[in-house]
Amino acid sequence: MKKICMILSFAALAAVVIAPLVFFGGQVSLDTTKVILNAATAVWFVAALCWMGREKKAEN
Amino acid sequence: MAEKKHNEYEREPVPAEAHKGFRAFIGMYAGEHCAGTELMIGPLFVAAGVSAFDVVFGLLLGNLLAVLSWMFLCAPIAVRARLTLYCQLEKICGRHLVTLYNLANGVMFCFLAGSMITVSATALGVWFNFPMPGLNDLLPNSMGWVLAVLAVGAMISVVAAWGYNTVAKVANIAAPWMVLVFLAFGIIGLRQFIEVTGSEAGLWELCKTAIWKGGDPLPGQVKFTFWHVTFFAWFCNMAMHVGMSDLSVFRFARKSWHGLASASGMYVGHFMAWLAASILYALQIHLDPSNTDVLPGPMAYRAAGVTGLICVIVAGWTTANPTIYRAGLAFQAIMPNKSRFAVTIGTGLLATLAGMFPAIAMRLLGFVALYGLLLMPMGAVIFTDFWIFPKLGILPYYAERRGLKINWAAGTAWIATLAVCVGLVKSGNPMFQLYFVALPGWFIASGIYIVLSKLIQRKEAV
Repeated sequence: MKKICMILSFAALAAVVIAPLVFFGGQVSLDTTKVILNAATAVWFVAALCWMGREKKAEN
Repeated sequence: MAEKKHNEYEREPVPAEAHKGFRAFIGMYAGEHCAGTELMIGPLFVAAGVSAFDVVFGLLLGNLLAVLSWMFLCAPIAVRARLTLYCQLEKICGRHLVTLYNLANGVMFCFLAGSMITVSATALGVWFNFPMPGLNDLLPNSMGWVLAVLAVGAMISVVAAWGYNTVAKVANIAAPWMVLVFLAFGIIGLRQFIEVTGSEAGLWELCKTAIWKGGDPLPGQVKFTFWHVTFFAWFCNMAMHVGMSDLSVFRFARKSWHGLASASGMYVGHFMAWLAASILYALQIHLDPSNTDVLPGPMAYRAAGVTGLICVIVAGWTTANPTIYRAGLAFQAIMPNKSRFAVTIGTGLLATLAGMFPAIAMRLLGFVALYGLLLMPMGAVIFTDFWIFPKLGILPYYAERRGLKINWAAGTAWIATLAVCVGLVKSGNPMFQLYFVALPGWFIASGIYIVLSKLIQRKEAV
């Protein structure tokens, strides 16, 4: 399960970059890009929660 | 976790078993410096009339100088002394002077957190459609704005006081996503610029003629040249490197060259994110020259929809949260009898009040420069005390050696340096603008500290 979450979350991160790049290339519209970004954001936060359980180091 | 870990090695050198490798600092710096502030600073560069060459190469150079400052000024002392900034300062300056430093730092943290609450509140403006402040507004301009800031600030304050760890976890998760969303802002903004200008002349030509056109700044803004950009990028985190605040971070580093890890923050946040945010603002002005408002929420929404809004809220929140917490720690050092919870809530409310007044956010370039200048002299004192005093036969850690509550040489160096710097700024000489004056100020602070220490210690010897 953790491995699946990791794969999904990294795929989501990749989508956050790839979608704008595809938009930059003129292959998709801005609206489509936004939909992909929203989906990728949702997937990232849900999936990352499953495996990124380490606590942030307390800042001084 | 947080309470115990925050107190770890606070009053003693970090032992070898707690030292960390280079990689431990990369993510920390990348996450910390790709945050809510970037959404304001990037656009403010455009408002300041930067040209493409000045902003790109100024940032490359300025960020390099910042990294070198971490590597060669802060980290070497950190790995040798292995103490927190406050511990180091107390040995040199005495407890009372550290209290004053904490007060100054806490107040500045409050205002910084306030500006981040402002950033997050602009996202609410997109959903609730209330009037938001303009570029030159100093006061709140609508009840909707006041309520939005109050709501955001109250939530951030409660969570900072109660659930710091939870938000720290969210920040950890959000950091890599946020960095890429900033990148997405830049890519989308560039494409939109190409579409609206119909430019086929190449990317650099687009940058020079449409995005960072140079010329006069917007009304009420200081014109930024190559050197303004360079020095701003160098000194915007002056409190941390030259000011030695990050002694508290690098005391955990195995080697001093781990200061190089700061490059992840500088070139991800203070290069890529600043440029990306500035592209969005430049596009806004290009489409409507009368719309000079610097509002991260609407800009991000236009570029990336709901994802952009979430990024603005998270960016502001994850910056405000540790900032309010740090300010709370600083104030609690002055009021040790109060609970940390109460002090943090009070600090958060102070930050919220500050956030209602857009003056700080809209003048963030100047505020950040002022913040660094305020704390820089103590960084000069630490550097001088550690490296130069032994070579001159002057006793370092004087307050500790003599059991002093105030090292008057250090205190005078601090105040006198600030007085001289204010005088230099007010002289109107362009070389001594607020963005540049910290450089001569460092040498002035060091010189005053050496002379006064020598006099005091010689008098004592007699």
